[in-house]
Amino acid sequence: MLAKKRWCSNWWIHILFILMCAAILFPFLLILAVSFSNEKDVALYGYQLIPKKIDFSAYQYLFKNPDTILRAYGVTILVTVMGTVLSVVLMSMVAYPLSKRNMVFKQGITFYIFFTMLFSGGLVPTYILNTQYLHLNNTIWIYILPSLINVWHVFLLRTFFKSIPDSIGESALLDGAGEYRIFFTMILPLSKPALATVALLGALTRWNDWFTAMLYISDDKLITLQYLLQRILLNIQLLQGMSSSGNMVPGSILSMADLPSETVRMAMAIIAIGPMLLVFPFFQKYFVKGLTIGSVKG
Amino acid sequence: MKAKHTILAVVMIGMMLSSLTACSSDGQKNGNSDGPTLTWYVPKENPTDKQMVMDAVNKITEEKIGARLDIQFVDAGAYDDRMTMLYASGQEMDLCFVSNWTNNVLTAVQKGALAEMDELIDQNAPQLREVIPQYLFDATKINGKIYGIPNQQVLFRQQCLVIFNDLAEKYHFDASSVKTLDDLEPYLQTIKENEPSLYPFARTTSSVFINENFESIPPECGARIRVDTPKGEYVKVELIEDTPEYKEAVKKMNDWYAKGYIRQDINSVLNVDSEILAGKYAVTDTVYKPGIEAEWKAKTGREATFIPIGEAFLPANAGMATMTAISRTSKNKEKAIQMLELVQTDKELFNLIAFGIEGKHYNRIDEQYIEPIAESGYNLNAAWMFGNQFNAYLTVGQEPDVWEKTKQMNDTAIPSPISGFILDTEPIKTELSQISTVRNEYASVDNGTENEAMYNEMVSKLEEAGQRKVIEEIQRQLDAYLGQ
Amino acid sequence: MINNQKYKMKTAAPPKLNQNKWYKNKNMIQLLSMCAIPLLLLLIFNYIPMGGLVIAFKDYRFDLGILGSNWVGWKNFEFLIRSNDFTRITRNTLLLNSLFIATGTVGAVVTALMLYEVSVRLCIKIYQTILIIPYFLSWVIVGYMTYALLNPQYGFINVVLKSFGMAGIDWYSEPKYWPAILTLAYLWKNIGINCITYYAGMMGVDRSYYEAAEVDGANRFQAIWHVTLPSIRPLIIIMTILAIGNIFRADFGLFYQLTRDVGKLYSTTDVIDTYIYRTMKIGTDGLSMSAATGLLQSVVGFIMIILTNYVVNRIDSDCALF
Repeated sequence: MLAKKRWCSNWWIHILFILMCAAILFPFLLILAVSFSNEKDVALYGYQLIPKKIDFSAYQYLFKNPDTILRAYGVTILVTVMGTVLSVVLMSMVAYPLSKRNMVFKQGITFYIFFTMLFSGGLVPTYILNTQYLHLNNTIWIYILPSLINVWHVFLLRTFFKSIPDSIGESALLDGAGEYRIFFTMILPLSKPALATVALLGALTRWNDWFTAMLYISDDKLITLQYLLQRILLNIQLLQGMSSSGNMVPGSILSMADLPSETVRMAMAIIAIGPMLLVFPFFQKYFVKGLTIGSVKG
Repeated sequence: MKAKHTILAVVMIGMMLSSLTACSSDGQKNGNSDGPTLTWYVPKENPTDKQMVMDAVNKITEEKIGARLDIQFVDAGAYDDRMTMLYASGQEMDLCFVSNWTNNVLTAVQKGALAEMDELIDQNAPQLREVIPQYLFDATKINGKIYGIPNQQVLFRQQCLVIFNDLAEKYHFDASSVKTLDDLEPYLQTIKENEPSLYPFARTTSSVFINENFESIPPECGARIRVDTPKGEYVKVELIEDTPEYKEAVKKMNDWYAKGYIRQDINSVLNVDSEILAGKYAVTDTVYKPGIEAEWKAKTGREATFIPIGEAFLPANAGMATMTAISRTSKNKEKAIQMLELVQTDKELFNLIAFGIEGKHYNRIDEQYIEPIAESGYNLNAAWMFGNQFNAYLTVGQEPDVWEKTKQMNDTAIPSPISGFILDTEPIKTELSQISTVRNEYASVDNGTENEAMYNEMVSKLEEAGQRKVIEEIQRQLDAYLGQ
Repeated sequence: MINNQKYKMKTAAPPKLNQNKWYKNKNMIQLLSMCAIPLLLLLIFNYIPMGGLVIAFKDYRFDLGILGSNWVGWKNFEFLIRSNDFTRITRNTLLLNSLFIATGTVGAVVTALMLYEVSVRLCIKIYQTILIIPYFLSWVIVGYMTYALLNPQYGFINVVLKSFGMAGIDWYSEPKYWPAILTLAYLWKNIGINCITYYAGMMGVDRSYYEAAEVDGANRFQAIWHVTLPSIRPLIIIMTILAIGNIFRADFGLFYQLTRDVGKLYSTTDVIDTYIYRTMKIGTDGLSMSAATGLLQSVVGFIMIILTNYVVNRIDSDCALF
């Protein structure tokens, strides 16, 4: 009954949200529409929300030689999953002690972590370290190891752990349990919302990373999807190489104007974001569930 | 608990997979020879059949100089960043492509990334002195020393218009009748009216509008000298904006823009080249060279007429356009220079690197001619990147005398009056950076999309940024260099 | 629900903690050992490269290396600060970042408050999902979306304007629109994630406070003002402190990809990071100069954070970062 009353009294909130959602979804629909448009129609009528006629040539173009794209997908997924899992575990392991009221060196450690948020050695020293001493270039580890600890996420986790009542761990302590056991068997399961949030954010950064690939990877088998996207967006030539090695069929003027360039860019963008959008609802389900576990609402 | 197992499983699988991929990528270096393997970095996308070609290359190089070659292909877009990092990290590498447009040779030398070559050449590769003319070596020298082996190819510069034949025929326009930009106008108007999905004219980085009698002194800051200054006369550094030719050009471009010959969104177009390839323009411009017809045919699949505009001239640092340098970090500098000598002199090796393997990547037509196989795994289309282009096979469509013509034009082009001059940017560093910002900001003036007021604004902003001081400094250095 | 009950039970009867020293020491060692690997990772990947910051004070040469290059004192910094453009890029960076922080915080908090008022679960879920989607995209893609909207010829907005008989606007040559465009893009991309962060904070508020407020006769807005907002105050303050720490650092992707580096827009869009990027491309001292700029940005950020944190500490020490 309460819910119903609220629903009625809050209709304007829903209207606002619907407007917001429309504003957010609009550009997606636009690039989706353009990616399914005919190149010539785009040149004639501009980007339109409803294509004059549906045309798959941009996608056909991209998937003529799908090995490269599929391979990049594989690398990206592997890196994202592995990096995120390792990173969440390690970050919680530093955030948990910091959330303890009586932790020794708490201020010192917090500052030690925080300092890296603002100061960094810059590109050259980092590159030298990664390639000359750690030899991470041209391995999958370059995507994973250097970015395991995100200071911002550590603080998020710490804040969350702080909100868990001390009493939960304390009773276990009385029973003689070690901190590791408390952490893994009690704290972590209670912290699903925070872990999910941080995992999601971390996965995102990894998914969108192209710079690492550009700098450190010279083996085409190990490049990420975003870097491939970057390459293709900037260099349609590469595409032509992928499909017909630059020797296009000479023919009528029409066929040349048909050669997709605008639409291919948009299609490539769709290909890059698509999986994230598909995966997210599953994540979201867990995410929202996690959020509401500790809540008193509903 | 269950979650923990899942985590563990994921991590384990990941480790296994990554170790697998690591193995497969390391598997390439399994040569059984004692000679060193030289690395050679070039700005080009990695071809799929690279290893196959390298194996063939190594058969030749091992026999002749006892070294192997491993060409490292780096995406053109990432080449600058990657090379900077490689230099900085001190990683061992032997050879790399340097030029004045990517992986800048001046910067690299100034920052001590490259090895001096004079002695290396004399002691290990004397043939290089024979196959590369002295004037070309002179046009690559930095502070009097050789830091790169220049590739012989088109050295002169001349702008030209590109008119695509299919469209011209469709509208019964005689492309070869065009002599000046004005002759083009009626045709552009026709395209504008009849081909709504195409743009009539695309201006690329070259500028046919300013009838190229000027030579820019790098780094681009608006300083120009007139290449047709007669020998012995005072060479004056001018500011491009002060010249009547520039004002005329801007007026014309602005006119074309207003008439819709130049696309209206030109200021936010990032990559004109790819759209030219995609056939979106009826007319464009480029740098002329003999044999360009065949090259564009291969690139765009269309026939075009090329109309040279202005005189051909030999720029001050002509040799720097395409060079191969030896890295400071190379442990086998002697072998590296021998490798370059071999690539410059051995026709078979050079063509193998440039075109791949016969029957696999190209078909032989006759002694001179080959035809690259479409969709093969080694299709670089960039012989100029590796060595003496005059040694290259001719591809179908090229005229049999294209290299003779090129050589001849190289020899007859007007040599720059400031040949070999290199600007020391140290005293005007701040100004150059400010000027560059202003120039970027007012690129729309250069694109002809602006009116007079904007032009005047740019001139006064340039003044503020220290344009005068820069011009004076260049003149001072030039006077000292030429002893005038 | 179940967990919730667990919470309540525990809080209802807090057991006394045994202050036994032995327990404490053993657990402390365990806690410290937990931190060991993450802190080691930071040492390797963050602290060791920091040694390289010295190139900000050097004329860095490849052959001499980081340690061997000559010291040049403050020359690299002088180059940046004495440039004509320094005032402009600093102004743009600070103004736009302040604008982002202000609109971003207000927008996210208001959205979170609104979301908190929604009680239909399905709706919460749908809104959350849609709000967070843009955060998934790289700036490259957002740049292309912006271009699809603003392209003078094909762009959706101009197509619509033209269909209404109005003249299209050449967005990429009108600097005056860009502070608004950039802010909108920033909000579009970031509001969802920040909103959800605040929303999660609100979930922690004990229901009994609202009941108490209701008993006192407070209406909804009063309840929001006196209960909900104070509950997320620490979160807002911490997020803002951190944002202020980065006020001198611009999001390169946003400013570079969206504006497509169109020179004509520099007067309102050129920021420190894009300026340095361009300088690196033309100059020979790029590496030293960008190191100097990065260091300057860090130091300013550091001072800002310490100052803000100090002020916050004076007012309400619970909210402070440290």
